Amino acid sequence: MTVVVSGIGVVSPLGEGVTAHWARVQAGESAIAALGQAGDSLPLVAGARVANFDVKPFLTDKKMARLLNPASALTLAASRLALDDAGLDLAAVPPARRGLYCQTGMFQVEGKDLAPIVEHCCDDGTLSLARFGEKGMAVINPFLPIKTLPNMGLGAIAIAFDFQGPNLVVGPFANQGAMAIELARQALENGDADVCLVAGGDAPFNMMTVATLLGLGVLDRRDLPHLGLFDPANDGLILGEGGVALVLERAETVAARGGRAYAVPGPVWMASGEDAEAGPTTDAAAIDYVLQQASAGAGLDLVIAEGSGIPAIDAAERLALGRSLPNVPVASAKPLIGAWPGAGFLLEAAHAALAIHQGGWPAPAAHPARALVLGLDLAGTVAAIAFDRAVAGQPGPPAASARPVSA
Amino acid sequence: MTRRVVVTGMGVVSPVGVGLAAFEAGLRLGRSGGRTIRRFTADTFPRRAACEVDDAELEPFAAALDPADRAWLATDRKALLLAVAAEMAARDAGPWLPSSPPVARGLSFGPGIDYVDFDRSLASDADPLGELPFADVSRPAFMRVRDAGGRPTRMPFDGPAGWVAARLGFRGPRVVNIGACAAGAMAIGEGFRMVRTGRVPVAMVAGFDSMISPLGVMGFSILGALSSRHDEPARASRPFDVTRDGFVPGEGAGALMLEDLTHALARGARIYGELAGYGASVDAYKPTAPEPEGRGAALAIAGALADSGLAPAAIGYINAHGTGTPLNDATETRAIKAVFGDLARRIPISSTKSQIGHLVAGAGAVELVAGLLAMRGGFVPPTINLHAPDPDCDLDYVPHVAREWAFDAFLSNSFGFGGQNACLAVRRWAGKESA
Repeated sequence: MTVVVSGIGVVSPLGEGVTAHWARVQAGESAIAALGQAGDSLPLVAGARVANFDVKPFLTDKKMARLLNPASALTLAASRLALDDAGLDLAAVPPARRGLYCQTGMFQVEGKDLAPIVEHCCDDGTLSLARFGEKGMAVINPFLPIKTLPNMGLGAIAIAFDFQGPNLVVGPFANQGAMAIELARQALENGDADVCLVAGGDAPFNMMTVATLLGLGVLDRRDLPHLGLFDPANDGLILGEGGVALVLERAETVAARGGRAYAVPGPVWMASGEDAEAGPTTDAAAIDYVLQQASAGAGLDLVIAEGSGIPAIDAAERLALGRSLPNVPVASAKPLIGAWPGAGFLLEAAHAALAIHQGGWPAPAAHPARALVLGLDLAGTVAAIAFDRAVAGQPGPPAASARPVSA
Repeated sequence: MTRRVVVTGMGVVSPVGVGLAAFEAGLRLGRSGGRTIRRFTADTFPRRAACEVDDAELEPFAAALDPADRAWLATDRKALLLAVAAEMAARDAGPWLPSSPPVARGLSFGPGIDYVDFDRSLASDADPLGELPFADVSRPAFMRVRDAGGRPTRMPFDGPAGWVAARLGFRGPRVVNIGACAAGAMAIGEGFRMVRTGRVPVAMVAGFDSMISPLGVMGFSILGALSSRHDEPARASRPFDVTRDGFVPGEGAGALMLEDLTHALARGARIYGELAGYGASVDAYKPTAPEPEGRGAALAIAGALADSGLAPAAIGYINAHGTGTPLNDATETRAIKAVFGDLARRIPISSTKSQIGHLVAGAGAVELVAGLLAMRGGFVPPTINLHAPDPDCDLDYVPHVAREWAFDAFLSNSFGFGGQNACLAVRRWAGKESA
């Protein structure tokens, strides 16, 4: 059985909707810019932000907007765009046969949410538990506990589009998006669902996320709004935000309704680095292992690399790519839209599908038939999925299974 | 080809016992973990009852961890609880490490969502290089990004998974499921599928949480989810009782080793039971209330039964989600009736949360351990504090005292805020059990 990507939705710093976004990716336009006022007083110089986004047009029940944190709102918007792009008649699919796999980012608390606590419950910036206990219920936004639940985005999408079937929320870091694709693919292969939506979103420009990333020591602190793929001058992550969603279906279902098959996702391969206890890995052996497993079979035309900008990670990734896939072109969209700590893998998966289906990236004449997405995330995992061009009647890729390994 | 999946190791940290023997004894005795919150000074908080893990019981296990690890894990209570449970499960599974390489060992975790330590994050004496200003309040206040020891004040959701990957050698596929109250059960379900599909021969699955923190208790209080019975904390958690008024927050961790049956038999492993099926659904109804007829819950239960191949009549026990909130318990009862019909009245059902409180992301894993211990021991844990059954909750909830009861298959329910539902189906392994 073959599972295909049949719909893509994107809300990114480059545009809303897959057409606008992809045209600017093909043109090589970068949305990374000096943040200035858009930085919300965070200690960040540069980033890629989505301008003037409003989730309400994507909602049937507009009141739901107050329950959505920024990442969930972007995820929901991308989901609607993906379902529209797929041209699905959802009414023809029973709700219990609709699968939903969401990637959530970091804990979504903004400075403005905590400000009342600081104002009313702190003495010179130190929390007074006694006053927090006494006044917390009165001063905290009553919607805050709901907004901060990391699975609330999934709940809202389920309500908005009546998805009642198999589901999962994974996160917070990007390679869990690869697992989300894998689990959705399996749900379709196993017959547990007839359509699956895989969606994720990032809105990292908030105090809590930035504090966490600063604590991990992975942010770019240069006074320079520029990221180059494997550029030795890179200093760390330049953050980006947005939402992305993929619709997955069985190939025969898509063919029967005359739908579009962007690409065929293969199985995910994943490993944790030996040094993966508390941050991204530089374990080149783990990267080699994943690359070798995921690239087995037909030749690759393109690798979409992590290219995070974190110097040690870039070095390890570049070394492994040179060793395992020395002659394959390498690209990454991070220089264009920044690093999405949570949904980054999903976004690059969308790019792989678009490159295979429409071509024109990373070079105007490029039109890969097989592209591999490689992710090295902040949790210290390495993940890869190969995407193939959909060919009518062709069987899907073999399932991944435990096999002899060297790592 | 699908594989059969068995449980070959377990570890548990709970408010009624740390370790399998102590936990089982606590279940059999109907012990309550409820007490007034001690983890922080909660005198002025609107809700003050919780089920805490006793530090004196935890200490002998925590002391066995590498001192450097312990210092790092101590920055996040739930990570420490997970580490103890995970080491316990790995040890309990026996000498299996040589039989599978690290990249062929999977992980599927349901971590708690509360990783903000207010005491360490909001402080005025922060290192200037490690703090962020709250620019939108009138006087200086800061959020620290590192504590005095240079450690991050926030541990990401999957920090504990990274620890297990690095320290216990589970370096293969990893699922980190962040699904609120159903997270533990869903993590187990996905780990189960990882092994069943042949992706890996062995996977560690776990759920762990501690929301007994200022932010956690305040957040649930704002949601109106917690019991108000501060004056009698041991009696505050009363699932299915007509006077129930909310859940009691708990803390703990459950870790289980799932293994391909062939792999387990080849190494002569002890088998606690066979994880036979998993069902999941979403209510798609309201963000914080279950669909009142239990449609989503019933879908998950029916899914687990179908997935396992077990007939409804084969189910000898149901470990209920049973939170003690007015809405959940009645909804869950309707869902069980919808799936089992008249059989529902003949199946013993109990809520472990009556004893250990609601472990949120840890609930599904700890409650699955409870079910496996009960199946092995031939008893059903009680639903304590059930004095006046709700007319809408009219099934056999095994009130007050444990019941001697032999059964060969059971279900474990977990339903979450946001509408996520999960059910796990387990049956006794009828083959050779001893190592």
